[in-house]
Amino acid sequence: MIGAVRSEWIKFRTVRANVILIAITLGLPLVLSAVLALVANDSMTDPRDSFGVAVIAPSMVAVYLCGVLGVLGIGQEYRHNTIRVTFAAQPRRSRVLAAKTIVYGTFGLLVGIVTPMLCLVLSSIIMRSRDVPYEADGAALVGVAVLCLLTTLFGFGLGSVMRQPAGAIPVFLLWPLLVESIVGAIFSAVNEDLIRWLPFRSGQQLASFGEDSMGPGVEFSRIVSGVYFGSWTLALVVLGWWLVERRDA
Amino acid sequence: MIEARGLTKRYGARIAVDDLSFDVQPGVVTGFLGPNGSGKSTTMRLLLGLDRPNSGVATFDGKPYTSYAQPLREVGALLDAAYLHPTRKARAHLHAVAASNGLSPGRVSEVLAMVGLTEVAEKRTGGFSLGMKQRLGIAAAMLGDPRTLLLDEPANGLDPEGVRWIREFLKHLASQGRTVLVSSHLLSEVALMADRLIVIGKGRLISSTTVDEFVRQFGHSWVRVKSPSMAALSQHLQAMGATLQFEDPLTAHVYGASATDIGTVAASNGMVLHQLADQTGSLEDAYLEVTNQTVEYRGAPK
Repeated sequence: MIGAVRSEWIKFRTVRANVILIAITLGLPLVLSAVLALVANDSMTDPRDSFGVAVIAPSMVAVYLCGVLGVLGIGQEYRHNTIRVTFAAQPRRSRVLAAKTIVYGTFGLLVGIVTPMLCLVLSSIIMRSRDVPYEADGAALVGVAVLCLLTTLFGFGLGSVMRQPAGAIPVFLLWPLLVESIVGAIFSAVNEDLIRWLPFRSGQQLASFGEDSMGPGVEFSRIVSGVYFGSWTLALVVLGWWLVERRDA
Repeated sequence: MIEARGLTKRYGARIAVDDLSFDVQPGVVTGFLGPNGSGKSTTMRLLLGLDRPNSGVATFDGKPYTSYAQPLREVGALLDAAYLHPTRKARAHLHAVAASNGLSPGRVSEVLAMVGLTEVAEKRTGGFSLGMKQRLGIAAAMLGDPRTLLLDEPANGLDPEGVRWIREFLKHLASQGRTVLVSSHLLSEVALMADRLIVIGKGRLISSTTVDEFVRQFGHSWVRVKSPSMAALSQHLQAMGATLQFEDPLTAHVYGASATDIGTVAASNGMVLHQLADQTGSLEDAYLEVTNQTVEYRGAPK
């Protein structure tokens, strides 16, 4: 198993697309955080809003980019047929999938911990120098880490099911950004309580800060949201695992 | 030793491999021959557990491939040289494969030197020629110093020197007692390196035998006869039941009669012979004869 993990780690860091994406995942949130901290003003009544704007919002970029990396983790192997080399070298496919889950999951969790912390340090220095009210929310920071882990594995599960990244990446990005926005708008008009059942919308509650945007009681609590989005992630990973085991490589 | 028993693979209504059984012996190079689309690559994938068979089993030294925890130490395979990530460097590709089977980075350097790719080890494989990719694929197959080698069209894209190198390399490996199975649709390539042949067509086994026996079994033999009395001699030969095919009025290919019979007939009738020579069809003739009915894709006749 250690060999399989080592192999996946080598693959992870030796593909140019991954290296570029990792650099963007780690760098872009910091740039956004600095810019948002510089333009934030003291009109925000809740100091947690300043934190949300300068730390949580930029970190969400890293969360979605980790999901794309998760898709690529297995999708690139199918795209270039290197999955056949991988499974010929390790015919016990569950070991390969477990190793990929460990490597990509660990990366997602680390990004989810490090990115908001760096954004926090950077933005707090800028905001304090500008006398903008600022208050960190520890639960939201933990929530971002969990959300980043789950989103990375969600991408990996989707990549395992769909195999080709050209199809899986648009599905992964359009699901939260377009489909849930449209469906959410329809739900809002019909029955607001339905919104909490949208998986990404629910997952984002993990990183919620300040007052509930929809008002109290509409969204799940942070923990229930995490369990709900985690269930979607688990279901997708298990489905992908089952399909990879069953299908021809 | 590789043993395949009753391998069958269907893709929808199409049968790619049909109840295929064969053995591949150690110590010799075995050519795996068949026209394009005959099921060679599918069979290779079935042997390695990459494609799931509808029925049948394949074993390497008595064990299914999927039962090996570190299979590269037992079986090395080159399925397609293009199975590479174009932005990954050659050495990193081999490192990843080696790590999965607990093989050392030092072994990566050894196989790179073995196939002559040391100088380009730090280059991305997207810039490699097909020949370089083939060599990299062979290096990956040799990582675990395996007892069995499976190579699918390994000479594709190699220059003449490369073709000679792979031929000598595989013969050398077989001489060490390893099991070597090499697929190809090019008979000329296999003829120069293989001792045994497994020939398939439309997914079915046509023949599994030695090269010499294959030619004897499926190749035609005849006697080339040249005589100034050919017209008269041909009547005697046809009376014996032989058939003749004329090159020119004085020269004929005689089927169904031995050189001894023809010489005896000529002598007993006082006829002069200028040539009396046994002829045997080439391996290519035998191969074309045996696969003629199983070619999947064929160009229109000119």
